Amino acid sequence: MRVCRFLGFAFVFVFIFVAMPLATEAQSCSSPYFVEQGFPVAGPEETKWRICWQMQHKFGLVITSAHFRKSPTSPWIRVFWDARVAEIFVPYHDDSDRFYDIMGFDWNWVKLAAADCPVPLGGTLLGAGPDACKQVRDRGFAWKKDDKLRRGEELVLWGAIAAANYNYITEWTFRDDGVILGRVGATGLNYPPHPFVNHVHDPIWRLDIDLDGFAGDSVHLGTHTEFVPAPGKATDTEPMIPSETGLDWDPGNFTSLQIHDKNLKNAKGNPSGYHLIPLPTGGLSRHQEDFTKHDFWVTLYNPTEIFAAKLPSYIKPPQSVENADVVVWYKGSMHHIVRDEDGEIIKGFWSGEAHVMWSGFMLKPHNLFDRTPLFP
Amino acid sequence: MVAVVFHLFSGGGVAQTPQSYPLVCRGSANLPIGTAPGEGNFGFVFTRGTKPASQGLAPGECSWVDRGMYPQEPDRLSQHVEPNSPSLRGNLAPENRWYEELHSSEKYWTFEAYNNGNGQLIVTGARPGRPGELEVSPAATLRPGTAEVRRPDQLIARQQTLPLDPLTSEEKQIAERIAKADSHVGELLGTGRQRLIYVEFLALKPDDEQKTRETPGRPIQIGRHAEVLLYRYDGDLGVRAVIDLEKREVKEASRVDGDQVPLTSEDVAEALELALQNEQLRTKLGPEAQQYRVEGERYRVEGMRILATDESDPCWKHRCLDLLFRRGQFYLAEFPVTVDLTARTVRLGRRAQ
Repeated sequence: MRVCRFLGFAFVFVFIFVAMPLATEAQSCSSPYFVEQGFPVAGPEETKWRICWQMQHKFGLVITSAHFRKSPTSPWIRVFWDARVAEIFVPYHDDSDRFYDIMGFDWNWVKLAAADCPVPLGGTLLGAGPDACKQVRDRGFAWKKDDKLRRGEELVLWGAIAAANYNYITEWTFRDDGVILGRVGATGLNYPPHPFVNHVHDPIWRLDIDLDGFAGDSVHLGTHTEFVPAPGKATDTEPMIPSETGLDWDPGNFTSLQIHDKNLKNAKGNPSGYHLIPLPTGGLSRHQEDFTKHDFWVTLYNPTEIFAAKLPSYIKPPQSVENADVVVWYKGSMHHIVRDEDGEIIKGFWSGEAHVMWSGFMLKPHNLFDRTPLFP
Repeated sequence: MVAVVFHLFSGGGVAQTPQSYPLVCRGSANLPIGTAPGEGNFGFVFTRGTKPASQGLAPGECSWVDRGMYPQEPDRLSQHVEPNSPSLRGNLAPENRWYEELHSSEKYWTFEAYNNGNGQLIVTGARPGRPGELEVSPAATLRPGTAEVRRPDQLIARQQTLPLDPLTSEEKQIAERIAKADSHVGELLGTGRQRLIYVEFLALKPDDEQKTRETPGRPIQIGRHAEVLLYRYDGDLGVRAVIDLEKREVKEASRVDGDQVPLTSEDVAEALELALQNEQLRTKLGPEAQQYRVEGERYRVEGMRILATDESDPCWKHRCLDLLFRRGQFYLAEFPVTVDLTARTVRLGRRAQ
């Protein structure tokens, strides 16, 4: 009987002091909207993502929550409260049409099939449609030094909007090193009423980044400047953005938005954050509409402010965004110069498919880890 | 991995066995399971699943078939083994084979279990099975108020809705009813032509930031909200209502510009109906004209929203769209048909620039 009691106490001890601290945080969405992925896929966990997603009217695939854990013993860090493509603006060069493919439409989304999301390539179809594809895959080198290397892995979630003659592919990539990539791909048939008119697709992302909770975030404008303070020298500055505004990307200045939380620091005591870095394909366009006259926007969180086309009105009057609940926006561009490869008219019908063009951005952790991740 | 195997010694049998319910567990390579000769119980500690087992389990998780587990429910499972059972001599009886099989995350077992009120779930039956393969007998007892059996041979569990789940169809209907019954929404909508555009999930941040933190056993606490968007043709306006689904009330309602009210498939269907009244269009489309449908397979029509940028455009402040006619995979090229749903007019050919 003493043995029984001893074992009983031993169990309670093991349970309270071993099992309880490792208890998993409750998830806030159900399968299949809940995606949890640890890395590496094979072997002991080093990093992990927890994500909730939905397909929503107008917007298609929306990330409604994303948390990252930089080690199995680290706390979860919320990165996204919400992330979505808030507009895809499509002005035609001859001014014949200026489509607002998000705000103006309530498109269906494409029902995916096995061929969209091949199991041998790490694919899993999600949702009732199915509506989304989850793919877990190798991403090439995380780092390499001579004969030593580490291959990285990533989780990709994507869905597609059936925008009449076009499909828009909304893709979110969550990497094992904490990086997030957002991309929109445009593919399909050229617009039938004027299939030979060049045009631009401008996807604009709304990123509600809440590091360590939704309050206390600030955005800094990362700017690189050559010849300062003297010829042959260069300098990098990161002034805080004090109030709501629109900002421009300059490739020569490596312009970035740097998002920090006042209380979030790594073990070295350095402020942790994410840098929003454009990944343009060729360029970033400007049009007559005011909301296209900047590449970045910083606004104070307001749940009703979700349409990129209304951005100029959202910042009037400009409110403070210092140590606040901030939302950042980024506009990409796909310049579609019509080519014979897009298709042709045969007996009065357009035949052919414009291959996918992409535009996107990177959210890169900065001082989030305490040391090199994915490193022995 | 939180699961830790334990071997408990229980007292004698209970006079009256409480009702058991089906609990599904998924194995894990990290479960340190071993035989325990001479001991009276097999058991383990598991991670409580927060959703019904039919919705999927993580390795090492257990959950009820019809709902997720509550934080206050036991996370310890105990199966009594008779002293003369071959299982205690290393030859596992069929109902004890989970003891070996739950080493694998690919293995699932379903236990009939009840809460003994003392921190344990007591097993009264066990069988191998994955959630997707569950065959629950008509006699299986479901937890009251959380599940329903629609066919005698198949369990269809009502899913426990979590804070960031999409709206259920029932929630959408409730939200629409609440919005349309609200007097303020009614004032904003007026009495003219109007249309429901959509009902969509809305995640509102609470004032208390702590409620947005997930903790063990507790998801974020943001309630359930819906955005109901309606359109009134008079004035080209939208009405946006935010519905608190827990309080069953309109939290706020406001007008929005008409350009923020997206085109719907109902708009396109109405435009098609108007367009097909045009004889010139019917002639162009040929004998198949009446076969075009919004969701048609071979003869399909799609709508492209027009937001006029010039006051001289007839579509200025009107709900306008271009119709695209599609036969199979092919579109009728250079064939614009502009429909003004506000003025209820149809125009063929390019719009004025």
